[in-house]
Amino acid sequence: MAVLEVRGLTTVYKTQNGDALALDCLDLDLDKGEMLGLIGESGCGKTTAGYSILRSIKYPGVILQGTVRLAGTDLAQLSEAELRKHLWKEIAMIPQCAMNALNPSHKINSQIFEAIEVHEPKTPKNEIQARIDTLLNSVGLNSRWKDSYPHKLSGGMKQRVVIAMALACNPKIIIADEATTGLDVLVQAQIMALLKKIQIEHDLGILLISHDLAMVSQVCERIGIMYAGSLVELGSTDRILENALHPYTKALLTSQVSLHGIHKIVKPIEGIVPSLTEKFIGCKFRDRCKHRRELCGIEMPKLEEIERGHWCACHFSRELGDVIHG
Amino acid sequence: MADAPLLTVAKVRKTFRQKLRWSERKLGDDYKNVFAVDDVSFALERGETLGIIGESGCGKSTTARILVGLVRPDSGSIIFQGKEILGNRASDVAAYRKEVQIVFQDPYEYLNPRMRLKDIICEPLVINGNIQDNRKTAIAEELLDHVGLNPPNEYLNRFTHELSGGQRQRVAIARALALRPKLLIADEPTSMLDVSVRAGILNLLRSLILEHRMSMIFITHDIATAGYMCDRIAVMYKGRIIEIGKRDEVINTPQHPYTKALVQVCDNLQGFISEREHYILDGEVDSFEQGGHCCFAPGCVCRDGECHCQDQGSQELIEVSPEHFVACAHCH
Repeated sequence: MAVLEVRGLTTVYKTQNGDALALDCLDLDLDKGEMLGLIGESGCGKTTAGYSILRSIKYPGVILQGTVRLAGTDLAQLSEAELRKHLWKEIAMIPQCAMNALNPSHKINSQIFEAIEVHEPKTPKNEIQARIDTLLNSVGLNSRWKDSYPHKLSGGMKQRVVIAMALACNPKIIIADEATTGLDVLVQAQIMALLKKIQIEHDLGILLISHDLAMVSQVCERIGIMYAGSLVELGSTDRILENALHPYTKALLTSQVSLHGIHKIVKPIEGIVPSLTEKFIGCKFRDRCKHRRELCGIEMPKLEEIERGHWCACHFSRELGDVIHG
Repeated sequence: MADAPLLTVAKVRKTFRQKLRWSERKLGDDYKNVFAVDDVSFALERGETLGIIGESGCGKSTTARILVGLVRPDSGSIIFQGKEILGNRASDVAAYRKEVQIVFQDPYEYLNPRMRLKDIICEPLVINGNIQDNRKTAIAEELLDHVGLNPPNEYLNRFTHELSGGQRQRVAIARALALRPKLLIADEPTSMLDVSVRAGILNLLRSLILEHRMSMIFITHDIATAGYMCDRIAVMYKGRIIEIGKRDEVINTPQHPYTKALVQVCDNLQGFISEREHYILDGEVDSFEQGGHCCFAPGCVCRDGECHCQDQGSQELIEVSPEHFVACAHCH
């Protein structure tokens, strides 16, 4: 059962050259207790997707249409005040650059305290304090750190604090936007291990937004791949790695250096991402695609279920991939 | 001297003085020493690529900057083609600088936005005084073509803001090649680029190295990229080289606990997560104090009393197999 259902979510950024279509009809389901990775290059709309789901896009970003159903309620229809009740309590976010997400002039303790107090005004103060200690411990930090200011903490520790804050009100879903970018490799691994642990312990749904396919493919059950504002492929990690259907995913896989394949030549993806402000007819990837045909310039491919649980937006995915029928 | 290495770096040290916060100062002592590069030694053969990997702040970029002369080390020696560079006459150093060129990390930052590409690329030649104005276009065209910016005449008069990140990095490589250096230093040349573009830059560097018979020092934080690019890999941690050896040996049979953890994270994150305690202590380790002890000891799972002792021996590089050196008291 999907806890989070996103349908037709479309977001544009108003620019001098017209509207830039940053998110184009996103359809996405996030199941209970599942970790879903959202992958793409910079500018492909993955962060916009995260913020649009939470409806916290600021001008010049404007959400044009779409529904976001969270356990039955449509977030898109709620008023600001009602929405605020759902954020943090049911769906929380670990923002990009979490290192800068903490207020430098408040101690860690008061920042987490505030978040809990606003959402659960009836909880007694000493109970909140006790909960902060448990939270910090559960993310692998000694609770003595709660009395320090953020500048005393290293990058990885700040990241842990931000994760603790996201967990403060026991949400069902966490959107982690590039949660480990900018951290050192081993710290990254420790933070991923922490997220995985939390996911299992709290039965959380995590939407992991990242550009690192190698990392995401090792921790996520399912992966969605975005290109120029659209989701082009969605499926279980194993199937995508074994049998990518979309030409973009295939190209992305062969452009990665992996530790097993250091003797294999990697191939870049030629060409550039099309401008988002252009009105686009047909497939957005066609200019860089080896398999393009006439149809690609005429009709925009829709995300279709090609094999069980494996979706792809390409006219020719059935021919190109090794599809399992039934 | 056919067998002498192209470059020999011996016991290079650089300490930065960091101003302490008001609250951390002691009487009469406003600074603390940060050992950015601490006793680093290695040799580089002709035509060889050496990868230096490590986390941020481990001193890999400082090492690169020392090698091109942007940072003056406190002590140590750098011998290039049989000549000592440090503390030598200015004319020798100038000759050395022609032979060693660098490509930096962030292509959005270090190319002058007010210069046209042809001027950027020819600037090293102008500085070294061996170019006439009318030859500029031809040389720039050849170099642009060389780094895959085609057709070159379209790019000659552009400014950097008209280029994507990958193209900028190609311009930087063209500029570095202008003087036909013997040694190219690439300081995380792909870390600011998108995944789909990275492969192009990596392949370009690989083919240029072969074509020009250059040596390269390739600095990165990603062990897989280092494996793809390099013949040998050196792993740095807190200013020291803790493991150095042939690529396949370092990747297939890592010896130092830190290298083991790096390989495991890259190879099998799932496995690392489930058996993390075998590789690294949980929690954060953040100490930059310097003692005689092993710099990795505070976070190491196989540490014992020996790792913390003040004996210099516990941190020296020891040969575990031919040309594979490790600085760990437990690896031999």
